[in-house]
Amino acid sequence: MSAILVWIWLIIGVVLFLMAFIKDTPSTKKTYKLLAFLFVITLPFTATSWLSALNSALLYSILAMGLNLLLGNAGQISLGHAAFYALGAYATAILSVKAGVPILISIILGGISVSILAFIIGTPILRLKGHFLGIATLGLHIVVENIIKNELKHMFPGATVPIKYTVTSMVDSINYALREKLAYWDYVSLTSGTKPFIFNYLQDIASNIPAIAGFFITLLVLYLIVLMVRNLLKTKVGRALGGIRDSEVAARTLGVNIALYKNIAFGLSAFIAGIAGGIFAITIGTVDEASFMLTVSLYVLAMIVIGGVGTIQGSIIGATLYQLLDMKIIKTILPQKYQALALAIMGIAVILMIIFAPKGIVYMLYQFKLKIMQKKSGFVKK
Amino acid sequence: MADLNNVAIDEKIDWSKIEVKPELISRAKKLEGVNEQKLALKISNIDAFYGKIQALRRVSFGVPEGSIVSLLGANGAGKTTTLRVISGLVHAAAGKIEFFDEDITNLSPEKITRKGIIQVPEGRQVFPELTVEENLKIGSYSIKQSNAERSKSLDMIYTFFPKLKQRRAQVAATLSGGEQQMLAIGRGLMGKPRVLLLDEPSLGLAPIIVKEIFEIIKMLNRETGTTILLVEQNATKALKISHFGFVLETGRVTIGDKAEVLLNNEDIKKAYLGGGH
Amino acid sequence: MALLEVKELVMQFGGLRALDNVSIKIEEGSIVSLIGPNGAGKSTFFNVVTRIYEPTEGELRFNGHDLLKYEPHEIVKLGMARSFQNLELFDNMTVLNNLLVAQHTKIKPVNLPVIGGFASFFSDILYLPSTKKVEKEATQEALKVLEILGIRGIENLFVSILPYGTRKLVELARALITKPKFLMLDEPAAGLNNKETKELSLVLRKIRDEMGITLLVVEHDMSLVMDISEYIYVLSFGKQIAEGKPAEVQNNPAVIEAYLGTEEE
Repeated sequence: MSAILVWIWLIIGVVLFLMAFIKDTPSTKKTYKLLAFLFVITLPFTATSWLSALNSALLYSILAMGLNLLLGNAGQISLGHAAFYALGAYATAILSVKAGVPILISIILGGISVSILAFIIGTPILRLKGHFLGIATLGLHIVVENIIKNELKHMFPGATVPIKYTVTSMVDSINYALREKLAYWDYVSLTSGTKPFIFNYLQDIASNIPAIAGFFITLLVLYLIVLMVRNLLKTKVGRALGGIRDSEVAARTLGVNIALYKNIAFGLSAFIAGIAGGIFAITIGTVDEASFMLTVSLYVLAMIVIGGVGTIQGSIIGATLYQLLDMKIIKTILPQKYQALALAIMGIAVILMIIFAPKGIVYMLYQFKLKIMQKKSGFVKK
Repeated sequence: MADLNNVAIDEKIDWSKIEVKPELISRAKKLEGVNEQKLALKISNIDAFYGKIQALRRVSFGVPEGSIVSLLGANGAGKTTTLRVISGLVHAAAGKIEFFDEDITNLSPEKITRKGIIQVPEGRQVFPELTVEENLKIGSYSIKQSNAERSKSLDMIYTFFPKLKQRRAQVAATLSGGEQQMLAIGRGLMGKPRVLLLDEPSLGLAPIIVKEIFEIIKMLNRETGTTILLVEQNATKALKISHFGFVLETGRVTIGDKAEVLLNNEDIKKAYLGGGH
Repeated sequence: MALLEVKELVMQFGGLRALDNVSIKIEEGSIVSLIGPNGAGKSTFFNVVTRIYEPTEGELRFNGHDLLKYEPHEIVKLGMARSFQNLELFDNMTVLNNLLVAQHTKIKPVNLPVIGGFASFFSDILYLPSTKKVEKEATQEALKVLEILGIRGIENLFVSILPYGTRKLVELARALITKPKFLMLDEPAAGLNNKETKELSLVLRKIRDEMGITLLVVEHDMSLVMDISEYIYVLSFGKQIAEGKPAEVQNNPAVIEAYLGTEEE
């Protein structure tokens, strides 16, 4: 029953999104905003079995947005972005566990320290261009991975950090209250013989409260970062980065300090990755090296390419689609005995998406929207 | 590409009101009749768009086989777009393009190239890291050819462009602007075109080189019989070597006639030819 | 006093002397042209003056400053702007955004010493009224310049879909909006037809007369060069082969041989 509900809800979500994208006019904007809001706040309550996939989709959306800022808006590649993600998670863990800093401040401080570090590292490596920069950032990832393996091992046995103030602990009281209520209904039903019809549903929710809370926290952070990036892109910094991407020499003669702005892009991108790391730490509850493998950087890169390089929508669409396909959709559709093929199918899906929407889904949708508008105005005769 | 939603939506254009000037179509047809030549290219009622902007409105004209035809007009009139529609790089939203009576509308650029319509792009676009000879050889990849035939076409190119022969082993990036333009034309010729589309061959070239390029174009047409469709800002120079000329204005063909008629037409002189020299 | 003074400039690329002892002097308020065959070193000269290339030898003075002491991104503040031969527009941005990048050094939401940059950054992130105000002003400034050049109405279009000649004008607008003292234009008439070239020469005159901007123009269209220039320098293979008033240069045998060619008709 709940599995069907999820699918219905997801299809509603996709339809809603497409309609909002295509019929985007000032008069309908408010309606769609409201509908989108209602959709996302009800989503976790319909999709409890999908929560881990949804949460990771949101988290990856943040990461993708950070990398997209660097790649799509400033035109600089990074193949080792998971390094900043890892550093953010560890910084949060160390600050809160070892130094006793409140968790929220730990996350922010973690993000800031990662961005300062990136700013400093950026000074030498951002002089490189194209694939040389790619290799340098790859090297950066390996260095960070080794530091985590060899140095942090002394700090935390097994390099696994248990976080004290996780989301689970934050929602303890709600959790407790709900369980108490459920236990009461269960007790009453012994005599009356009937349980409230939503009993099973509530039980399901109760066992997923930390994940639901994680969903909303990640969503809030994603929303704040979208606002930040959006404002940044439509003002001075965003334009300077676009200038660097499109023509360094012209940007330079117009007064853009190329080296400084590349560093800023790198720092901002690392800040966002660092924050994502912090969110990871508090939602998952432990930080360990296995979560920040090099492949994470490459997945994020694939998400951006699928969604649309240089656009905020592209980061979110790419990350969500990728994570949902990878973690849930393919596995649900595939019969039990072919589960081992899931990864291969994912690979094929990515290749197909790149073939049919080489500039990303956002661009494809945009072209589609243009066609519709042309048709509506009635001049395409063929 | 910071924000795709920033693209202007020009809702003011009333798409349904597209004027067609029937006399122009009949003029294009008349041209066909007058010369009793086959039309290498027949363009009828082409519409094309860039996003929401209509670049071509019912463009119609013909290119007789073996002739040089100039497309003239102001910036943004749609000259380059017309070439790009013919070579399949821009989608035609309406209309028909015929190549020796064969419908080639909206075929893929590769297919159109294989049929023998080759575009020499604006701004040359040679492969900078490859040598002159490698650049030329790439031009012949659209047709099946034996090595002997290929070196024969190479020799032919080198007789037209002796300067390229001198520099055959040099990488294209080290050529001067004029030599790059010659290389771009030569590369186009390697594909044995039946129709060569030239987009602003004089762009950014010194006067002395411009003269040379135009002379070569004229000679090419005379010696090989290749049909040439030429887009040029330098209207006087272009018309002097052309047989026919068509003038585009804001996406429409407004005037079309024999080149010498256009050269002596006072209105056109005033509007497009200016003083010049 | 000369606005730009270049003395014995040498630019060596490996074994190639792209500029060989070039000395050029440009008086404030004048329109000067630099002509010569393709590959003569004209664009190299622009790149040296705008500090993109480090010259091998020579002296560069602009408005009393030693140019060699400045970084490429600082010369716009000295009042120098340029266009590029093969267009260096920001293709994936709209015309308006191109013109807003050009106001990079002028857009300061928070104008404070030391912390101004940081404060502006936060003002931008939060899109505070201070940011809104400067953005609006910069946008209006951009529209004004487009109006002057007669291309108002294209501001929200992406540069990549514009025809070549219009892109040239956008590049001119982008240079103008920096409010330079000195403007270097690399083939501004390329891609324009004769009528449009005539209009351009009027615009260039207006830029000089009404805005007081000194112009250095590289151009192959002799009708434009002869029409607007007060003085012409001729380069060929990195060497200065002639200089003088238009009429003198036009009849100089060395220039005719290397560059103009003999007139037909």
